[in-house]
Amino acid sequence: MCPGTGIAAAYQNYYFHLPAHWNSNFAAEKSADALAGAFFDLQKWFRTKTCGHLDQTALAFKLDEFIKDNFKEIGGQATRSAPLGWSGTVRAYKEDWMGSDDCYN
Amino acid sequence: MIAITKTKFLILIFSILHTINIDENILGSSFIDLFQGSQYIKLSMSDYKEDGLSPYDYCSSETMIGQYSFLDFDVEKVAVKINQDKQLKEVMLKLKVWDGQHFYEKVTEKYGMPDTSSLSKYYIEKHGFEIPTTIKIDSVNNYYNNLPKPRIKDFPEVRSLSWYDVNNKSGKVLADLVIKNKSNPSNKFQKQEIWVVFRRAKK
Repeated sequence: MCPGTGIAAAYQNYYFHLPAHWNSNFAAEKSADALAGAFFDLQKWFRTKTCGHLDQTALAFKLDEFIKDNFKEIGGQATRSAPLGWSGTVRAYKEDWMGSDDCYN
Repeated sequence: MIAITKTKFLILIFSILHTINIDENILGSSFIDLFQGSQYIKLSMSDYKEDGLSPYDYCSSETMIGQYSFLDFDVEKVAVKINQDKQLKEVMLKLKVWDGQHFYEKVTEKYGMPDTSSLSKYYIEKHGFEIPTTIKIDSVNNYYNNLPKPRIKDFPEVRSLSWYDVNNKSGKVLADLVIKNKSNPSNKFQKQEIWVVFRRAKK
């Protein structure tokens, strides 16, 4: 049994584009679910690889693919570059280690 | 008196007959089959609550408690996601148990050991490790290789466990199973909330 790949995901920025009519709480929870889906897909993909050997580049590439797919599924988009005119601050993704994934922080 | 007893007996039989045991095969049925004309709630953004159900399209109503079970454990709530083809994409069963180890013994009897797990801060620190976010990227491989692998007795203390392609017989919908522990593992004096999630496997 492999302990998982969450610890091995490379650090990179993502910008999530979501339907404008979604309120912030709803958007945050849908985003958290899409991200959880991406990590699930990554873990399932990783299972087919040799457990214990981590290739950071391959993991980052697959994670990128899965994040984009999962955001597309919920009607949004994930990009590596900021949308034109965006002036916010990038914040770190934090996991709630006691329970579910959390995009509020 | 006899009439009342008979009535109670009949009600008991009726409720037993109507408990639906849910497993991975549910993904092959329809939304209508699952709820069978019973009450359900369409979830929408305007009814937002912090209960983690927002990503789902529908959930069962409170009146359906006792109607569903998973491995003979009562299910408190059922929530589903529907895909574009109106098929069940994901079915989540929320249940609460006193004895998490007993629950996972029954799960592993049916599904075997999980393929992967996501560890919790509680579990990692209990075994003398720091959480991953404090580990330098150069040390990740070494850290990863030394992490303890959870056994059945540890399962109530990890974040989630996954089984992939659990329904690989021909004619069945290929499913992934994820079981998430939603309660704080350090609190042993409350029922543990567990989410059992059957997902239609991606091709």
